[in-house]
Amino acid sequence: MPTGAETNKKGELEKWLFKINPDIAKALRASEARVEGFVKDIAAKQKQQEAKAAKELLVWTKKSGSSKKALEVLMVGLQQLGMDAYLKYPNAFQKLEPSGEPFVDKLLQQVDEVFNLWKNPDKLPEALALWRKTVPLLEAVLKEGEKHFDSPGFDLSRAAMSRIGKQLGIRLASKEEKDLAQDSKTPDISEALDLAQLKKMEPAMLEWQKLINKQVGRLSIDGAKIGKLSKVIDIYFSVHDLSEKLEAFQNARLQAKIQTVADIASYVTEQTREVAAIYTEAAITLAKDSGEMAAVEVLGKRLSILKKVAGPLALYEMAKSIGELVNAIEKGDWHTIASASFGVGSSGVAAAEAFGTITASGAALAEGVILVVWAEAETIMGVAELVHWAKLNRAVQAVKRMAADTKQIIAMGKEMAAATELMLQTDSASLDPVEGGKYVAHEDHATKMAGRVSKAITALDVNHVSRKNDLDCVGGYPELVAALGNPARDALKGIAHPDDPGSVSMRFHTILLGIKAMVNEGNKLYGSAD
Amino acid sequence: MLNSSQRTWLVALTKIVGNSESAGAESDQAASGPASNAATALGSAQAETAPKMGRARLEKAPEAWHGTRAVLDTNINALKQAIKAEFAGQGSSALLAEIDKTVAKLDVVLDRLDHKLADSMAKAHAAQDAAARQSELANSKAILADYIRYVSSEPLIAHIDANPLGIETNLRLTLKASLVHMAQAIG
Repeated sequence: MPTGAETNKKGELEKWLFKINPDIAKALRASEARVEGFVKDIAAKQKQQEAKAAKELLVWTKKSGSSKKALEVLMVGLQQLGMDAYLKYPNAFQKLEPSGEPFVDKLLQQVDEVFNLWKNPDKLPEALALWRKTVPLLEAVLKEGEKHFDSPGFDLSRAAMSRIGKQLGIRLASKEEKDLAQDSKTPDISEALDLAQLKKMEPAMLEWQKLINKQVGRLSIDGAKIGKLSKVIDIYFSVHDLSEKLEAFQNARLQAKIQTVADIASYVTEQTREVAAIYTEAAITLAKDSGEMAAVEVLGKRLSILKKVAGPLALYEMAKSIGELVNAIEKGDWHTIASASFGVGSSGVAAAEAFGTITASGAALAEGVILVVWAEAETIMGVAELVHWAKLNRAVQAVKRMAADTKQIIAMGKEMAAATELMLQTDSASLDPVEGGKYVAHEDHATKMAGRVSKAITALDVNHVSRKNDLDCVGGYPELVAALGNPARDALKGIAHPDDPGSVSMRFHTILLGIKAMVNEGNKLYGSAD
Repeated sequence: MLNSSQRTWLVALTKIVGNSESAGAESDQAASGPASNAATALGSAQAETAPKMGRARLEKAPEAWHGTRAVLDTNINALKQAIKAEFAGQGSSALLAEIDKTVAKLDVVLDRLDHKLADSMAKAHAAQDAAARQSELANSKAILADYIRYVSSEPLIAHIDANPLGIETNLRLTLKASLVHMAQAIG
C-alpha cells in the first residue's frame, strides 16, 4: 500500500499532467477504478483469512487449553525481560504476572527462575540448563500461536529471547574467565630459582624435624600446632624430585592455597616461624614461672624478631637456636638461654630487619624470587656487609620495584589469557544467542585486557628501564639494562608488537626472559647468594 | 564591452525574457556547465545544467545554440523518463498510452525553438560581403525576437520547470542565458 506522501506526490503529478493534457483525466479515473477494485479484492481476501484464523484459534483454544490471552501475557513478559533494564541490572528483576493458563504460567515461572538464578554467579550453570530446557518450549508455543493469529509480538518475543540468551552468555563468559584465571598457576619470574630456593630450605626443615621429634618434658607445647609443621616436612620429603613436590603439596589438600613453588617456600616459612614462636612462648611461660625475669625480657625481644625471619639460612639458624633453647631449658641453664636468643640476633636477622631487607610476611616472600635472593644475601653478609653494599641495595630495590610491577601485569595477563582461551573455544559463527553472547563478551574482555596489559608493559619501560641516570630505577644501571637483552628491551618499548592478546602475551614472555637474564647477571655482577 | 545600441537591445531582451538581474551583464555571464557536455549527455536520465556560453562571437553562436537545444532535449527527456517510471507497472495500457501522448507534448518547446536561428547566424557569418551579412543578421534578429516572444509567453516552459517530480529542467534559465548570448553575438 502506498504511503500518504506517495499518494500526495501521485496526486500532484496527475494534476500537473492534466494541465499538459486534459484528456489524461479519463484514463487516470479508469485506472484508479481498477486499482480500487484490486484493493477491495485484497481486503476481502484478508478478511476471509482473518475469519479463518479466528475460527482456527477458537478450535485451538478449546483443544489445547491454551488461550490467545495467555500467549499475549507470555509475549509481553518475554519482551519485558528482554529489555536492558532487566537484563543488565540484576536487582531490577520482577516476577512476571501469571497468565492464568497452567502451561504458559509454568513457562513464565521457568523464565523467572533463569533470571533469579543468574543473579548468583555460582548458579549460572543451572540458569543455562534451565534456559536450554525452556527455549524449545517457548519456541514451540510461539510457533503454534503464530498459526492462529498474527501479532508483532511473535517477532518481538523471539528478539527478546535472543537478547536474554545473549545476556546469559555474557554472564557465563565472565564467570568462566574468572574460574579459569583462578585455576591457572601464577607464572613465576623464575620457577627454576624458586626450586633452588626451596632446596636451600631443606637443612632448616631437617633441623626442625629433629627438634619436633624430641621430647621436651619441661616445656608445655601444643602438639597439634607443631604437628602441622611436621606434616609439611613429611610431605616435602615424601617425594624426591623437586618438580614433584608441588604436586605432592597440592594433593595433600592443605588449608593453604599452594599453586606455585614459591607458595611452598612461603608456607614452610610461615609454619616454621609459628612453631618457633610456640617454643619461645612456652619458654617465656616457664621463665616467668621460674622467676627468671631477665630471661623473660630477652625471650620477649627474640619473639618479635622471630616473627620476621625469612630466607633459608635465617630459618636454619632459627631452628638451631630453638634447639639450643630447648637444651638450655632441659638443663635449667637460663644464662645459655639468654646466649641462644642473642645468637639469633647476631646472625644478622635483627639487623637485616632494621634495614628493611627481610620480607615481613609469607606473601611478600612469594612476591618474586629476586626478593628472596637478595634478602638471603643480606643475611649471609651481616650488617657490616650490608652497609658496604649500600649502593647495591639501591639497585636491588630498583629491581624489586620492577618485579612488583611485573607481578601486577601477570594478574592482568592471566585475566586476558583466560578470556582469550575461552574466546578461542567459543564458536563465533554460532546462531545460539548464548554462545554468541559468550563470544562477544570474551572477545571484548580479551581485547580490553590486551590493551591494558600493553599499556602496563609500556609503563614498565617508562617507569623502570627508560629512566637513565635514575639510580632508583633499573634504567640507572646500564649493566642491568644490557642484561635484559635487545628482544626484551624492544618488547618493553612495544616495537613490532600489536595490541592483540597473542602479541601482548609474546611481548610479556620476551620481557620475562629478559628479567630472568637480568637477575642472573645481577647475581654474577654483585655476588650470588649461593 | 557592449556599445550603447547593444546595451539597449539587451536590456529590452532581458525584460522580455523576464529576468532583470542580467541586464547589462557581460557576455561571460551564464549558468555553469560546459556546452560540450550537452551532446554527450544526450539520452541520459540526468538533467543538465545550462551551458556556459563563453564570449559571444558570431562564428561560435550557431554551435552554442545547438548546445542549448541539446541541454534542453536532455532535460526534457529526463523528465519524460521520470513520468513514465511513476506509472510503470501500475496503470492500464490505456493510461500508459495516454501518458506517452502527454509527455510527447513536452517536445513542442524544442519544436518551436528550432535550428533556424543557428542556420541564419551561420549563414550571416559565412556571408562574403557586409551587405549580405547585415541582411542575414536582420533575419537572425527577427528569428531571435520570435524565440524571445515565445519563451516569454509560453506557459509550458514554466510548467515544465515546476514539475512535481523534482527534475531540474532549468528551461527558462538556460534559454534566457542562451538568448542573451545570441543577441550579443548578433550585435
